[in-house]
Amino acid sequence: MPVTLPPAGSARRRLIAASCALLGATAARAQQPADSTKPVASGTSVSNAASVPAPVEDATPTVDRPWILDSAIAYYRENDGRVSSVEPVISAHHDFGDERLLDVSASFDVLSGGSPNGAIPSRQPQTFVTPSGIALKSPAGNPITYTNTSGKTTSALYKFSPYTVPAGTLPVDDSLHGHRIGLTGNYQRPLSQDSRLSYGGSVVDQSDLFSIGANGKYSRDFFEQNTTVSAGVNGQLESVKPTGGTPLPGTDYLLFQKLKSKSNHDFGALLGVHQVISRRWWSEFDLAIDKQLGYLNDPYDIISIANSAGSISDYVFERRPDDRSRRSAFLENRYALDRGMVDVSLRHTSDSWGVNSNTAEVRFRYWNPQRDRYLEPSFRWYKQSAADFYTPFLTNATAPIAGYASSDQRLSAFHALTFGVKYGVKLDDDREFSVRVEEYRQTSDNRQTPPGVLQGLDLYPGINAIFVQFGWRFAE
Amino acid sequence: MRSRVLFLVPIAVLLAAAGCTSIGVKPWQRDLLSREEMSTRSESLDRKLDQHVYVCKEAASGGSGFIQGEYGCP
Repeated sequence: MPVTLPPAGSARRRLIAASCALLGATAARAQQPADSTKPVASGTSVSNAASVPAPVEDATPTVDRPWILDSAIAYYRENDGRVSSVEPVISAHHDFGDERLLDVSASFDVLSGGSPNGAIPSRQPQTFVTPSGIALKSPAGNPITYTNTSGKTTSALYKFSPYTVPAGTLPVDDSLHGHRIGLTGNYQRPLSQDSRLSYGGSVVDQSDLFSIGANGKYSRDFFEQNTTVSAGVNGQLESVKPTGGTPLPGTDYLLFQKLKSKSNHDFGALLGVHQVISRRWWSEFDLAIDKQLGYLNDPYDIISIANSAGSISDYVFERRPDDRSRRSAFLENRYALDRGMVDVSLRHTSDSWGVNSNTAEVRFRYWNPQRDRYLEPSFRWYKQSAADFYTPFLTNATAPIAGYASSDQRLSAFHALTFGVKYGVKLDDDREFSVRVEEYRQTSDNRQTPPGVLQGLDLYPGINAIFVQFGWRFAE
Repeated sequence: MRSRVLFLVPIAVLLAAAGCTSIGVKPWQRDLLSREEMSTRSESLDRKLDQHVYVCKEAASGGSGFIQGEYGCP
């Protein structure tokens, strides 16, 4: 029989509803034969796909289910005036009951600051142009020729903004400005008493990229919902439209041979098992594979060409393979403490470009006795090997280069540490404020000795970044 | 091949463990598992923001969920 609740605090409403349902479920269980193996009012697993709907489904009370709104503003800043971003984000979650869940989120990034252009420091000042440049001129002001992809050569000189980097300094393009809008949605519905289907999509629009993606996942519970097996697929299409055009991979930087927009696509699959071990402990293991095809270059990354004396003679745009296969294995364990929880996760990834990585992360949440404030320190360790074609510089090469090469720091060998802490205050059952601070330190593991006078320069600077997030969660 | 086998070991262990009667809980024993902090949903926004940083600064992706692209990276 439906139960209509008075408009009181939602926590109290949920408690009343859960109590009524539990009484109903208990009564139903009492009526079952003693040897019955069919689960009654079986609650739910705490898997990603279906986390914690109230364990009351058989009683189906009519409950005023609020929307849970989770909002945050995140600030990210790297050392030495490099990249900084401000990202407001909001997500909304609604439980319609009967394991039907809706999640939507929207985010907006504003990027500014500088980003390394891929070239290495030199003993001499170096002059580059911002990506919007179409043609270069010599330091004396004489225009150089520009050859487009069809072979047409012009001496046009327009749309360029040079910047000069002092000797011994990492070349950073300070013209980085942009925005990004991201929208995601995901809906889950039951297929049977023990299985669910979720599907969703995403759209990302930023100044130099447009992406659209879709995913679907099937989950089935076994053994009184102690085991949940999930399998899913996803796909994504990207249109890359870099500022100033898309460089022809491997070509001479000074020629600025550029194409129009390029694209790539991405297909993946996921298989996961979520297992409740005990009253306090669950474990999850996920395997994921992914295939990327198309234009996968960083359109802004260039590589220095050095001679044997260590002088920089030229630059070329990077050139990556146009396909990439990636695999990941992830194991997470979470254990409930009397006043909190501890979470430990491990991840191993590998890809066809030769990048292997390992990640370990631990988080610990500790509530005060009143359970209205918590502290959550975290630590993450990450290490990756370099891509087969990663090189910080080329020696005695001539453009256009024949093989694959990239100086992108993301494809180099390095390790990284993240130290974080989160502090949360529950104002009541429906409102929570939190602040989270993290420090990210990335240290290069590259040991390639540069030629000649380049020795002694810091060619492998790491990243020190700070991340601050203010969060506000409330029910509406 | 060896790495594929290693990938499958944890999943086999979890499935084997699922068949053991000594692990798992009865529906009425989920009080601690139902706590907010025991659900990954309550931290989804934090994880999403973290992943955005890591995907832009590191070559690896994936983990709990699908492998992601590198959109939105400077």
